[in-house]
Amino acid sequence: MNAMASLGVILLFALLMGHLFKYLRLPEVTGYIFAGVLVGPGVLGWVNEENLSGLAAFSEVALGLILFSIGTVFDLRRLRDSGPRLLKLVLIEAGCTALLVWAVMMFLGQPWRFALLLGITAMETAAATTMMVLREVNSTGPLTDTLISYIGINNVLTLLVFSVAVNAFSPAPEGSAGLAAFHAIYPVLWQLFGSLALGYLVGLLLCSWAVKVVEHGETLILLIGCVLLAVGTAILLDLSPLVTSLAVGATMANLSGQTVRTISVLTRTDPPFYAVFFVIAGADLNFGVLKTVGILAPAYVIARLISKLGVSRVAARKLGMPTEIQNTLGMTLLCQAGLAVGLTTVLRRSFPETGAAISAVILAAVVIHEIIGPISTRFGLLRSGEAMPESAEALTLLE
Amino acid sequence: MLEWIRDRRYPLVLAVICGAVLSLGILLKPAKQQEEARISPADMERLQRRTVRKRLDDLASHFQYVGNEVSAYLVSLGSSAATGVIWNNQGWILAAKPSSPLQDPFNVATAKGETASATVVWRSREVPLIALKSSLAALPPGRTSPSELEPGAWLLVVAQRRDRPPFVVPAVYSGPRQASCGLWYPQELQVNSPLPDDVVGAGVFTLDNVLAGMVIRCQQRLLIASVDDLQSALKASDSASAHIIDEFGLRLSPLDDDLKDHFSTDGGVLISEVWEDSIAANAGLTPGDILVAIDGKPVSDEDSAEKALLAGYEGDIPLRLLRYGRAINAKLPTHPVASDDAYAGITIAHDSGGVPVGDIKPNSPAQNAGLRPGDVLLSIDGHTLSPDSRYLALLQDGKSAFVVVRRDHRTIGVLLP
Repeated sequence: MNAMASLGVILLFALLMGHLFKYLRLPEVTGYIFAGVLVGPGVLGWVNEENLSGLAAFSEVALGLILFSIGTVFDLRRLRDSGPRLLKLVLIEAGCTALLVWAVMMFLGQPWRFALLLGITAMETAAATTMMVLREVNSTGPLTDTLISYIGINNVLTLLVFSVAVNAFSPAPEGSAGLAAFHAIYPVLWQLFGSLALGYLVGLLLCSWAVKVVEHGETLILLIGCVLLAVGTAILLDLSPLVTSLAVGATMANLSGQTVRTISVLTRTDPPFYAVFFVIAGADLNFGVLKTVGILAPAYVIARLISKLGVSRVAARKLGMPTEIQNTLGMTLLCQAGLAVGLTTVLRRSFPETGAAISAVILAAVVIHEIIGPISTRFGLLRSGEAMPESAEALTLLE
Repeated sequence: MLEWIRDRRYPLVLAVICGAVLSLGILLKPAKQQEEARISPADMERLQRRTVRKRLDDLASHFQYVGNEVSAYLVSLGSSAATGVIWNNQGWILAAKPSSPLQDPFNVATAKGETASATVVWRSREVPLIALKSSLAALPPGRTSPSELEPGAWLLVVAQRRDRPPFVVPAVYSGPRQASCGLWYPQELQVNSPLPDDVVGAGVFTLDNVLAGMVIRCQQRLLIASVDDLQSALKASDSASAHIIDEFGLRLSPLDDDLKDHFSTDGGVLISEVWEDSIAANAGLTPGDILVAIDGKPVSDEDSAEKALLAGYEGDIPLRLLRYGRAINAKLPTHPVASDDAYAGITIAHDSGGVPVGDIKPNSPAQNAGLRPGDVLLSIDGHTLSPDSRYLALLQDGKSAFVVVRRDHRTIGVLLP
């Protein structure tokens, strides 16, 4: 099957599975991922490895759009009050998760570097999956806002800490200590400040142009063009596409009055991208890896689960957040996918000997998290009362 | 929108700062080539040597692989280290003539460990080959003649060893050469490396598992005879004259006019060659004898003589001969009699005296008659020679003379000039 036909199969199959899962009161995202598993090389094989790599660009764009929408939450006026508290929450929760997973892996007899890299990866909460569930249940309210901001900060933090760790563990180049330190610190600074700078510049372009563009279709062209430009340039310059897209969104939110309109344009148009994104994510899931990693993957999942559920509750209470956030935030933090998968490729490249073993554990955990994560997130949102799945459909009907 | 951003200067200043950050970052980017430059020249060389070593190992393992495959076409003979090649699908096996006689019947073993009893069906005096017939139902290998081989191609000399993997000697083919092996002149396949002593009878294969030749022992030297020559040797062995040689150790030649003049006779055929320790030698026949009658029936030409000799006599065949004008009777037994010389495995070298031929002038009568350096002159016109013999003068007066020489376990008679 060629790339275009497999794209068609992906979309239709995703729609079918989305309906089925909605009927079963499960998140549509899980349905998309399940559809991916079915059509992927592991089961039916309608979509092969070659098609998947051909469709990889779709994933990049979809992830860029998702990160863009997360970025639009970072409105400085709003963050002025809640920002420090949120940052503390993320730092405490992510730090504890990393420590707990690290300790469990050490307890299971793994080398400390191996354990630490796994711990850092465990910090991440999947932006795309979580956002998808949020949109699907049409969730609004304090928990939703906290969750979106949380995901943004969490992803940037994971990326930076991971980058620091990988560079610290990599063999230092020959030469003076100063040069070695520069080699270790440069990628981290470049990924943070370079990506923010690029994101700001593209965001500025977007804002100044958005004023002139009023029509729905043109706005969409402008938006997708800017996100593609940001992601592509970031890849070209060795920057982080994730942070760059986030920065584009944040710039838009702070500089332009057109944010709400732009986001609404995006929300009406982007579902096919996301459907393809999640089906590809599902097709990439390799269940075979579950057998090879033994006890490590379940241990990783359980340690992360305990920390995400427990620590977020305690931290939210200590930081004086509302009760519904204390009770349900943890449940919505369980998804793990895109960034973690991306990190495994860095691991394999940086540590040829141990990278494969760490990757296997992470990928096995991703398989589990992508199944339980969306379900748990949906459940948490429904319990908090912020989700209004029916009203989302009602709105669509009205339009 | 933030209040302070309403002033357009701030976003622009921020944009300039961002541009500066990006430019600075691109400028300061550590060069990626450093990782490659970190390999020192010594490491590089070691790496290259390892690569070469790996390739050689691959080559060697490929040779052994092909050797294992073609060993399906080979058998090991008896308890000796000799190898035989499966020649056709009727169980024929071709092998080099062993230095010690094989005890008939004996076992042959295939690469798979199958054993079968085999008997010698053909043993040649002229060619250092034997053919065996066994009950093995194995397929023979494909064959290629020397003209299809390119110099520089790999040849694998593969010897079968009992209960062990085949012994594989890779060699590079360097071209054909006319070799001399007694009266046999096979095409030798020359290779760049010397053949070890224990590969007698080994099959020589191309990398396509096709048989190109066989290792034979020829006058204390090992050489690779091409399949074409093996085939033609086998074919020639089927002729009546070859049977006469193999059975009686006797070669018959027609009497031409010169010979008729020299021996002053009209009929009969000439005995031109007698093999040592053969039935003919034991019966007292020598080159120069003229066979005139077999069992009382006159002999007209060599065909009828050969037919008569192979007619299936029981017991001795009475012969009537002319030896330098004298008529004598002889008896040719149809079964070999045990040679007196073979005693406890010791063969006593014949010391019949004679004069070694040192050199032969090109285009001389001697060369035209087929004499070669290394031949030993035994007699001229029936007169036995010794180094100080006055009969050598017979050769110098230009008259015709019948000369008998010894060469490679046989005596040969030729007429000079």
